[in-house]
Amino acid sequence: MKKIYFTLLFTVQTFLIFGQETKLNFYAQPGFDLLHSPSNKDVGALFRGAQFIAYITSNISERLTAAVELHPHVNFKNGPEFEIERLFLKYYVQDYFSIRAGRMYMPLGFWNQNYNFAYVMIPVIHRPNILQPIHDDGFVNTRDIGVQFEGNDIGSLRFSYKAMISNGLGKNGGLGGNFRSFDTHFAYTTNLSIQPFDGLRFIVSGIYNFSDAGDPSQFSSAKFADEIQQIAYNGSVVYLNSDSKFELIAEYISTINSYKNLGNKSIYSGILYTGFKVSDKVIPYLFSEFTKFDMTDPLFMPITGVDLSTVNDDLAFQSNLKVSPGVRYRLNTNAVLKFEYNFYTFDKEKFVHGPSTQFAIGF
Amino acid sequence: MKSIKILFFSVFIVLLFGAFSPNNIQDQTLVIIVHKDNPVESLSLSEVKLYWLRKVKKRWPTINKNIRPVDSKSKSPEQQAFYKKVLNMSATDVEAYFNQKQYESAEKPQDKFGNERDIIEFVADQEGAIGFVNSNSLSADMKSKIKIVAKIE
Repeated sequence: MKKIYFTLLFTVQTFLIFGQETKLNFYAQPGFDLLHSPSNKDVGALFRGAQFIAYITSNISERLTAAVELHPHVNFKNGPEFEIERLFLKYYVQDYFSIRAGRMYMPLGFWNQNYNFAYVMIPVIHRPNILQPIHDDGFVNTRDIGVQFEGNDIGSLRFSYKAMISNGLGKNGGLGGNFRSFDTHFAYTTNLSIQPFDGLRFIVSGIYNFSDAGDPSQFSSAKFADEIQQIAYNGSVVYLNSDSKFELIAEYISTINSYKNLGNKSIYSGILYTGFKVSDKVIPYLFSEFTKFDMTDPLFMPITGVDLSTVNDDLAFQSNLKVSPGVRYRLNTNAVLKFEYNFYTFDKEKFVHGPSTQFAIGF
Repeated sequence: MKSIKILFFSVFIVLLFGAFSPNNIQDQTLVIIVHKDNPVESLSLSEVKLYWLRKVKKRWPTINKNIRPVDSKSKSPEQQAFYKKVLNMSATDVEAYFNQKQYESAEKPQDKFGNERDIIEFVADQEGAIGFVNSNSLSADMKSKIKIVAKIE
């Protein structure tokens, strides 16, 4: 595994050293969360780490660019890690047709492609629940290794497409990967959008995934106990236009995990962000999301040690709702201060609330 | 009669000071420049916006070169006028726009230069470049190296 990391790192460094023009950006976003649980009469506080990110891009030639996003952090189990969040090459073939290859975020909806670790560009403090990486107890396969074909702004409706074929569910999103049967075991992601007015985008996208029983799962030491076919689909409406004071991101993501023996397990989620630019610097906003998922779905439960038959049907569905009014203060392009007050309701744990702050910088 | 004299004198003084003021209209004429071999002859302001932001096309249609927007490194009256009259965006929005493009798809942001002479030389050197300068910065020699495709009064 270490060999693969070093080989990849060496390859990218070579590109960057010999690349025509190389740009190095850093992002950091320290913050603080406070949560009050009225039912438990408990207050929790958390300083969030700065989550330091290095992002390097290089124009190797007129048509070929490379990018790598590095995330040094400490894993409580494994100690210090140097994770490669993204690493891709992009080749511009002609207008309306480019090819990307490498590790990247899958073109599911809008948020997942555009907002990841550089919080200075992200309108809110936390990543939506539904888009947490699956290996961090998330719900959807949001990032993978593969090839993507894309074209943007075609015709008067500014039609754009992205089609990605990638390794698919399980550990294949990691840099190590595993050999799979060529015919059925890849993931296929498609994203189609139009932009009838500048800044107003309508997006539909979906992912098809398939894994055999016995294939490696996203959990480091476990395999899928049952054959799984996953279909994720999404619809989004986005309005982000510098000419306008109003901002909107509305996304719906749903996933059906069909197991050969366990039957269908579903996940539903909605994300709504609205902002209003009071001035160039001050932007109050409202963010809300809900997630409803089946806790008996083995995709995001520990595969071993849990007897799914003991879980009562009444308790199977969990739903979370988060509502966060907030305000963003842009000191300049490279420094943003955010403040939110979060209200969470959980099926099982009732209601918690509290403030969050974040100071996001890029340099 | 005396009041007419005073009126004429006042108008004369206003015109005189106006002509030598650093903010006169001629000084504020902004020109959009491209490489002299770029076959584009003229662009509307909305086209300038699309090309400069690389919104629809990433490469010039005929010369098949990457579009390379050129900007001023620091705040200048020319930059302010370009952002306001052509892009209709604030400086923060322009930076955020290019940062987002770079972050999402590794697109190169605009090239920035400290003075207009450097901008003109870069546009003269790079076939795909498109930039903005004050018309007063263009000497006859410089004009022969670039092409003016739009003017903003």
